[in-house]
Amino acid sequence: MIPILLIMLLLPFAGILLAGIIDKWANYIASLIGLLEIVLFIYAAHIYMSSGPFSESFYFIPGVANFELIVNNLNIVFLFLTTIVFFASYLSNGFFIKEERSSYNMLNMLAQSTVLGMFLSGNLLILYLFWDVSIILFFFILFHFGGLDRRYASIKFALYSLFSGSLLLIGIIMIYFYLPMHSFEISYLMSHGYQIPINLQLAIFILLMISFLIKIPSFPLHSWAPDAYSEATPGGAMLLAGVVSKFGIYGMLILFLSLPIARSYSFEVASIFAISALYGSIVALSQKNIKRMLAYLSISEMGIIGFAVSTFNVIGISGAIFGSLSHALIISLLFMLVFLIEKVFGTSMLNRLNNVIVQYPLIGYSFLFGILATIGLPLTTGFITDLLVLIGGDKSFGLLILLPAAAIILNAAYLLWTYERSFLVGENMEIYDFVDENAKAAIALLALFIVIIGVMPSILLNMVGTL
Amino acid sequence: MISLFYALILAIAAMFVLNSVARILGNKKIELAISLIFTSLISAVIALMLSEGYSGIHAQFIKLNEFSLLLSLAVSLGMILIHLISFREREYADFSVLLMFSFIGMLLVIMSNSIVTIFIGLALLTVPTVFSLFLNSKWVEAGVKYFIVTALSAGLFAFGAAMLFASSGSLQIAEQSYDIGNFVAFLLLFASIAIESGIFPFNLWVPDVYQKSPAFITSMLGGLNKKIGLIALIFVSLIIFPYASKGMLAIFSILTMFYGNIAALVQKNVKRMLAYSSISQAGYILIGLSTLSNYGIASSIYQIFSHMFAFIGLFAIVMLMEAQGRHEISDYVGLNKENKIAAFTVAIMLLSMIGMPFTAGFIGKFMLFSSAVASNMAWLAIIGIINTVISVYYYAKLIIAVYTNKAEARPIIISPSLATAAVISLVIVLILGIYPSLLFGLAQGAASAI
Repeated sequence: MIPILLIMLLLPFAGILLAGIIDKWANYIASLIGLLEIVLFIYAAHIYMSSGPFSESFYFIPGVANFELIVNNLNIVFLFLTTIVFFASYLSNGFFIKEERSSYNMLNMLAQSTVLGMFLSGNLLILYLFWDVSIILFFFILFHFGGLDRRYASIKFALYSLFSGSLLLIGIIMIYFYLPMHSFEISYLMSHGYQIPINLQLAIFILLMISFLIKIPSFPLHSWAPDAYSEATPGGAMLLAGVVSKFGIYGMLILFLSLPIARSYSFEVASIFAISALYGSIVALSQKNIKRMLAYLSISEMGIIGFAVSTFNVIGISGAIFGSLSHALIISLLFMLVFLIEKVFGTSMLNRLNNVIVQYPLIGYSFLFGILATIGLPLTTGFITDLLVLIGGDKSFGLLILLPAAAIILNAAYLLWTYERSFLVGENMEIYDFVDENAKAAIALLALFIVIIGVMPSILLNMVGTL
Repeated sequence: MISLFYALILAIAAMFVLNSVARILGNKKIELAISLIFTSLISAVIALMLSEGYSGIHAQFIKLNEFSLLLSLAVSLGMILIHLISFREREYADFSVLLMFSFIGMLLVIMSNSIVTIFIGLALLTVPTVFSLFLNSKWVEAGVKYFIVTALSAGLFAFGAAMLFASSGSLQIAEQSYDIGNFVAFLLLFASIAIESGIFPFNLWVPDVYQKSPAFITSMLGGLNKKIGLIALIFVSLIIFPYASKGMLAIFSILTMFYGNIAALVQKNVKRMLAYSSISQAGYILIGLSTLSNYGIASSIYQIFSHMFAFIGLFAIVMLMEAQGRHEISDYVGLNKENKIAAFTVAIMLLSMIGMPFTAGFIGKFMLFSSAVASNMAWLAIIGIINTVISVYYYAKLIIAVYTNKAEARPIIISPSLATAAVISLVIVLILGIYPSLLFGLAQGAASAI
């Protein structure tokens, strides 16, 4: 049998070699790799749909951990969103990145390999390996290619993320030693996690939750995110907000499905996320820069998804997985549009943007589409997410859903208000640049998937199954 | 089987004679060729002995087993790198001869079966190093400082060995019972070795000497001499006095880690920063020793390997920069534009010291921390991880400097011998990180052999 998952993991390296040799075409090579990854993913999904979860295993540290790659109902959607968002970011790089294209694309391809590895790994140690390496890669993407204040933002990002990674490592080592048969395997953890002594479960749970709260990012530990998102390159912001934030959600899913202690603390966790959702929307109100506003919007939305994970029922968890996909597609579309606005009009400050929709209808209407999808327009993915999350939340927590519901409403209110102020009225502005075919293709790709999956959510919900 | 041992002795002797002849002829290239050929030959013989599972005691004072053979292999490989790094220097002709003495000293410490052998080995190792620091008047400050501490260390060691003989009547490396005389002997021996391997609070000389020495001697001090000290510590504390070192090593490990990492945070000079970083690395290695378990010792061996190659490989580039008079972290700005291989080497070596996955350092640290958890010392692992997070700050500072763009950057050419050393250590660090089973089994075998 062909090791399809290993090929998925190693394909970007072929791209890196090619991009190193022919650096003029680096961009096309990266886009090609992105496309091939989608094809490989569809093939893997086909195998998964026809014959169920499967895995591939290779030697790593004998007796401690194998290099195991899996596809199952938890990670399949995350793999999907990774391949799509990476492809979109490669396409948009053609428009945004004009200098040092080859090294930027090489870094991006390496990042895709580590992100895929992180979601594919069937083994906590391998998961940690890729988790940590991706931090360094995104650090370089921010540090070397980012905006004006990139130094501060990238170092803050690296320190927060590496701290979160260290907590994860301690948690993983504790899990390894307190499982009855010392093992790093995720499937073994899920089936035997209840055998870890209860006080140790609590310690592991707290360590890992702090780590995930940083990574998601959620309310008390989110302060790296607005800086990192707004100072990153366009592709970097799309990937950080769209894909890297899902690391935490994926980790939470594994944690919640394996340690029984999570069930007894689910209300506390849900409250943190509900507060985070509301906090994100309130802070977003006061932002003057659209990038920072979107960063807080992202924090708010991630709060809603985290809330959905902690509901602990089938609807809520499906909502969380589906919401991850929806959020990844929508937020990366919105971030790309904001960077387009900055490039075309020379600013992303709200008080200086006027009448965008008349001057550049493509950007104006795409942004409106993105906002409506975020708010939960029927026939987009946002609608399905809100529906599943609120139903699931109501089943488990009752009235606590008022907080995320308020956040959803508040998000809708200020997004439309912002749109009205900056896109629909005012004097015309100067136009510095024109959107090229690459960026248009990226917008079309993301919008297309938002609609397709919004119309037919069953494609993905079938893959997730009943958990 | 026994013939391999004589082959080893013969190879060492031949290297000795031929290298001295080459020195008298005054040809650096021949010296380098002889050193490289014979060091490789010695490594090959050792690897052969290792693969055949050779073990035995010779003349009561040399013991060969998996442990000593594996570490001898590491030291021989490190020695090849040091030869390559120092080749371009004016002092290489004399340094090469002195290096041979040090090499034999290292092998003696690693293969020792008695306290006396360790003493002779340490003396053979450190005295030539002191001499090599006197080869150039610019290094005399470092030379005098290093001379004073090694003399102190040797004195303490001799004293400790005498105490041990007086109270137990034996100088063999074997477990001794608890007794006040033995305990005093242990303290003296420990202090002596702690000076050699830079364990807090016996490490105050380290930053000064490392900074004032030329880069190739610093790479030897941090890459090899320090590791030999740690290996001697394995003999003295783990085999002879396990009961005394149980809690003690953990405490010294914590102090050493914190001292090294916190002091490194504020350094501006690259060599001084790396000196403090190597102190903290010794602290990490002590975590494994303090568990007194096989797995812990195996993880220490792994980390000794990984730090040795990362340190020496990094110093190949420090050497390159030093030749241009660039000493501070801020001088490293723009290295990526000037030489991509050099910048990549610096980044990977530092990432390995941080413990980034897919480098040897990660596997080493992972094994160290998990050995602490396995021995019910999870708090030690947590302290180790806190230290790792602290250390990210100063390692990242250098990586960031290397990858920051500079306006006027012209390409610099790296000499073939330095490039070879950098690439060899790069390959070793990456292979040990991506394919750890290569060394993992050997390290475990070595740990159970002692």
